[in-house]
Amino acid sequence: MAKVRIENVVKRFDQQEAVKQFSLDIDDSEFIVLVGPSGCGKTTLLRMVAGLEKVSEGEIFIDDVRVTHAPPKKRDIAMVFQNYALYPHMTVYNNLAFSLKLRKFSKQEIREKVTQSAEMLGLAELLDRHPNQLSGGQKQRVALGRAIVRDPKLFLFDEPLSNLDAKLRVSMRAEILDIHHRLNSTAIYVTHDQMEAMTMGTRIVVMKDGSIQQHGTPQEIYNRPVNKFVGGFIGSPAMNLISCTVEAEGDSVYICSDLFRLLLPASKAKCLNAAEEENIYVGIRPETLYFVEKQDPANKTESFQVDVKLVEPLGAEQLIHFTMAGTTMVARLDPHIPIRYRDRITLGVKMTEIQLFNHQTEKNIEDC
Amino acid sequence: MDPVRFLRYVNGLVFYLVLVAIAVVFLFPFFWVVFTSLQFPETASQVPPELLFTPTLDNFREVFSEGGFFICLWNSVVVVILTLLVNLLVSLPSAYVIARNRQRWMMFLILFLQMAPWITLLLPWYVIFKNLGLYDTRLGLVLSNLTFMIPFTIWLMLGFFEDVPVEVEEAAWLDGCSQIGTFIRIVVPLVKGGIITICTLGFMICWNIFLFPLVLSGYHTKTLPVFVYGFLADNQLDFGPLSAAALLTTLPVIIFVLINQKYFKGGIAFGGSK
Repeated sequence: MAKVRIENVVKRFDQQEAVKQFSLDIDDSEFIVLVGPSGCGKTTLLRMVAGLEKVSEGEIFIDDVRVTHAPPKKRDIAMVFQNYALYPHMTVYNNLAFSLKLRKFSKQEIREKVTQSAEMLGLAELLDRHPNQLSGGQKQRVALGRAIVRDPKLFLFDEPLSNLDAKLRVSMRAEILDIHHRLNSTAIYVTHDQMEAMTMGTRIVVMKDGSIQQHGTPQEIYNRPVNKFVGGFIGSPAMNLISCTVEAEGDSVYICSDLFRLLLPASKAKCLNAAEEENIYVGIRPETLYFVEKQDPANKTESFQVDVKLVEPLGAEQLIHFTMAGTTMVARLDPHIPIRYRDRITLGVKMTEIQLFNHQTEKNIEDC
Repeated sequence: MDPVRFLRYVNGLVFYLVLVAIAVVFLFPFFWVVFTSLQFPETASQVPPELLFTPTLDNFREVFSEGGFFICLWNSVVVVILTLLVNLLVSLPSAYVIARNRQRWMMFLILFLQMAPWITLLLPWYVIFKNLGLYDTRLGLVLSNLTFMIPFTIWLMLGFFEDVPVEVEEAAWLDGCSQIGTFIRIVVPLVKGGIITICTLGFMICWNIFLFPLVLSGYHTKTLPVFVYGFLADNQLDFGPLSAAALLTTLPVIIFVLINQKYFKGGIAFGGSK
């Protein structure tokens, strides 16, 4: 277990800043997920915590001990790499035992620790094999075992599931979380997969262009993204984002596009009035759209009609694709509703659940 | 017979005939040496040569009794082993550093300096070695061998080191290994194929090298190729003992290459891909 404090860390490659003024406090036993698109700096940051990358500015503390410029072996951390990084010339047993041999553990102690880790991960029968005799999932478990056997203060994961197939990824995810709970360890996990981030992290840190966009629990980030990027990045299918105009009519405020004119609830309208927006981005999650049997002609302020471009039946739900203002949007509907390609259907919107983003700054307007 | 099968058969036959012809051309001198080394002097220089003859070991006895064979053998062994050891100690870390720091321009510089013909180095070396007291010393011969072995080794090993994933080393650092420890315990075992290739090639080159020892060695440090040359230097040509000496000089190389050929074939292909 360990606390990690990252203070104003900057990483420069020549003149290019890959990580900009990054600060984060990580508590004991937290499972922090760094998520973001490729090139956002998450792996660079992880490598700085590991000591594999020099820090240009700022400080890193592990358990209040400054480790900013300490070599990797002095930080008591273990890392699981994306491509496993197993020692090809050693057996699974020796891969697991290597760090213990370096620390001058006795043969008996090494055997006990390796056996214990191997049994935890289902590797007991593979100890005599070499890495080239293992499947991808087995290799990843060996990489995990190599980290566990050291009983480190901090675990670092650098996209460990990227090279696995979808089914294996799901099972390994569960295994990693199970181990985290059993060991009660602190972990920093890097991924570009927002689904992985949502299912695994106690806290998620969304990054873009080297900076933190938002950090919080998965639900906080999902329900209240601070900006358009976070709103569009987190959630699958992605949040529908459309540019709308704002119209005020007395005390009522409407958001308008080519297909709808929707009345904003008072709670959302108050921030909008104050900002005097003419145009805004509206974020509508696919599940906030619902099927309307028959549109009330007298009340078109909460629903609108669309032409179906694509139907994706997924068993437990169906995804309906349609176009609005030149943008393809997705609605998540009950699978039992009979909808076909080119049908004209009516969709309602749960207006209290939409997100509004400033057109210039792209920040969430409700954070006023 | 089906024309396609017939054509395939003819292609195969032609292919193997060509291979046999090439093999004959390359192997003929070797077999000539073997036959000549086992023949009496009268029949050794006969034209055309006798294919059926009574073999004799007299030529080998003459070589062994000739002053200096075992001293020259010892000199060759010492010089080659020292060359290989020092070469590995210097070249492996150098190639590793160049590979990891992506300083391939350094490699071009090293190779560029080797483009001068070796013979142009001999006179300056002779003068330098004489003045430094390195003439007629095994150390001098080792140094002369290293001038071409080191750049060659660095060039060949560069590709091997570049193919070792950096993450494997980083994993070792995180496990608690020092950089030197990682190099010795993780990186070097992964380039074992390249090291064996270099040792095999190095053994072949340094064992057979003639020009440098001819000029830079004296009575005490003559190597086997120079010893063999001694059979040509006299007024008469003793083909029998000459062939026996040549065969004895060649045998260690053949044995060494045969033992390591599995690594040698793979190593050349692997290193050559870079």
